[in-house]
Amino acid sequence: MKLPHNVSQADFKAALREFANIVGDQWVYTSDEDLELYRDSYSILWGEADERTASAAVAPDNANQVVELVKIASRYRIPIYPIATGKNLGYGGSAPAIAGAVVLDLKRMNRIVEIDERHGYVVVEPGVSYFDLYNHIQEKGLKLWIDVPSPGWGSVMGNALDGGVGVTLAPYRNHFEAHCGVEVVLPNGRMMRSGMGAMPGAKTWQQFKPGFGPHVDGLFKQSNYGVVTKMGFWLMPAPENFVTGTVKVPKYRDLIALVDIIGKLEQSKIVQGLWNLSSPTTGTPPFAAHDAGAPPEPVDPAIEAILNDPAGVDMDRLDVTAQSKGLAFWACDFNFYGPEKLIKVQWECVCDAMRAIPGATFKLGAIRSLPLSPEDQAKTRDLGPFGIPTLKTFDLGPMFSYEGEDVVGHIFFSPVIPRTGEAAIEAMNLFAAIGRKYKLPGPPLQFPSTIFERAFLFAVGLPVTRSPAVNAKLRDIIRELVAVSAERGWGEYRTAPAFYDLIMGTYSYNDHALREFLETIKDAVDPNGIMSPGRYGIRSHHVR
Amino acid sequence: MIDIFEMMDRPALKLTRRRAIACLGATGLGLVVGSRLTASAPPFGGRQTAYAPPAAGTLYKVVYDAREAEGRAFGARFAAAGFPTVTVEDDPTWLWFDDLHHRWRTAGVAGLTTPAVAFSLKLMAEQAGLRTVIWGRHWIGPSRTSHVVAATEPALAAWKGQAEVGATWTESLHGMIVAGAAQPATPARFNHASGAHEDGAREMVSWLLAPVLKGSV
Repeated sequence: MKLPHNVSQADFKAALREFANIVGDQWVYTSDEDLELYRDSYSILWGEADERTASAAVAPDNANQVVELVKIASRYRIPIYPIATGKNLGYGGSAPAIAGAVVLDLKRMNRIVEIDERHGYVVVEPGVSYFDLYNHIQEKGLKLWIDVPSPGWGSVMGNALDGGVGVTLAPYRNHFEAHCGVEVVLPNGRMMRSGMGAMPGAKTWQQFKPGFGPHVDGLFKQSNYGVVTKMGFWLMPAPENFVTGTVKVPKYRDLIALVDIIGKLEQSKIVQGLWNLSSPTTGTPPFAAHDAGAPPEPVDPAIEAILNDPAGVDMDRLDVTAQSKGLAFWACDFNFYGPEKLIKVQWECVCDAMRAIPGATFKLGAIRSLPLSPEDQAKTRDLGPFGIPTLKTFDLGPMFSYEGEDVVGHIFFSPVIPRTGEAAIEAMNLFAAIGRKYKLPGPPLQFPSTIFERAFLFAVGLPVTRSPAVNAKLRDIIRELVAVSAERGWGEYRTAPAFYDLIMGTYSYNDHALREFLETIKDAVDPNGIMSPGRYGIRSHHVR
Repeated sequence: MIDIFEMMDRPALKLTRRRAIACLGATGLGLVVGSRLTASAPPFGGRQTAYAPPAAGTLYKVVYDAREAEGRAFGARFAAAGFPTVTVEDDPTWLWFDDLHHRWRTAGVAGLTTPAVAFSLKLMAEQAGLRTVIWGRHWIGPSRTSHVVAATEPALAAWKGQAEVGATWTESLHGMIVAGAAQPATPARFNHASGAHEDGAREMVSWLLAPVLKGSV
């Protein structure tokens, strides 16, 4: 029997018996077969001594059971690790952050507690997936949209609490920012509601975020201060129309002006839909055309030679060659939602602003009336912008290998970089060079993501294998990536448990004042150190 | 005990190596006690309800990728035996959303698909309380097909038995899957063991996901 650290077998068995008394025997898992389900499918430590595996799992049905389970865990000093649907692949999956913890599997808590079409919000339990919520909205015929990550199988709450993101309008695609109000079971077993929910009979819990006094919700994001048992989210009213407009600019360094112009448009709330960056030089059609089924365009042999140069893509040479071929260097797709007259005006404002870049061209796609019919859905390659969850992310073509080993998944290195063309160019070249150095699989050109309104996200997916030797090398590569990013003041926004301490260590301003602050809170609210020990580098006093 | 057979070459299947991976533990099967379902309970939830064990050999559906000749042969074999079949390509979303998840807890679901489809269905099935009973990796190369199959002993025996009488590998999958479905599901999770295969080989995965009867603490 695997035991949590510093817990005797007698105490562990007693605690499991008490857990079973609360939830029922059939919801406590201790067999090897069942615990296999609480391994991270994409673990970069798979099969190694440091792999974080659970000692048991317990699945409560409701928040009151969570209260009792937490009290038991506290009494026996058993570390517990809550998961929602356990689909956080690439960032830890269903596995705990430290080996030997008991996974608190919240997927049975899958009630949609409340949904209010008039005010545009929903309150969910942890086990509600995007598919659950989408299905519920469709069944009820509500005129509300959800913002989905890709794939859409994860938990609405779990995704938000880990900092997950989507692809529709800015107010909704940063999922934690779109929340309003949490109910939390604290490590001492007390149930707390944040914001206006702290008032009994509150009428505005999901309408007014800050509440009274300090806004504590952020303490429960990427942390280990409690088990969130309910969470409110603001939902988007179902828009009437959708259209994508494409702007192309001719030169490589036009990116600098492009990003600045878009920044002003976003800050002014003229552009709120996601915009996507691509390069016609690669032959990949812009997102809109790609979505409509346009095939890749043949790449000019001269350009192909530049893109496939083992020494790396010479961007200046690519720039000159593209211009000689009449190819724009950048294509930028803007997604617009809403009444037709609004989106036409928004597009017109984009075009007016972009005319400051010489040679910019503009094309507005066909305006699509919403909701999409089933036939239109079937023809649409990417349903994410339409708030429809899918599993299509796994349609990535043939599986490949790295260093002779089958690739079984990926792990993300996710730095946040400044929202400037200069920083984007620097990051593209830096990460491409590291990718070449280690022969990492990937396209010749990789672009930053524009999901966040005021910063770029440059998510690099690295392969994960089942070979400890290859995975060890990949871990070293990630350490190098983290270091070179930190040198430039680029911090990661999210990571897998294997790198919690490493990345928390980069946030070291004033001798790690932030970590000290977080640990002070941890010691106060969780003196027995039972709640997700080590998550995001926050450790209790007895394990520091 | 879970055995892994590595098979190389076709058309005659030669057993080249047999590796017994670490025992994944006794199954300790027992009947799941039903939990309440409310009218508002979402359909995708992980609640396990009381149900009778599926009848021997029962499969709710067999899924196959009709783009590949092997997939078509696989699907045809099951259809001829009277099993309900359905095709899938690269995106299993609607198959799962509109069909499988409603009923796959009543009986197993089997398939021969791309690895990505197999993987995503496997994770959704596990969330619904099913377990992987068979997971076969098949690399179809220019001159030979290689296999690494993880399954319970009776299922592997069926696979081996068919091979010995000259059945093609897709025909052998039929026997293996039916044998695997004919017994209480063994909760197991395989280590995605890899095997040698030709350069340029394309991979397909055969799988059987079946309802598990959870044991007690």
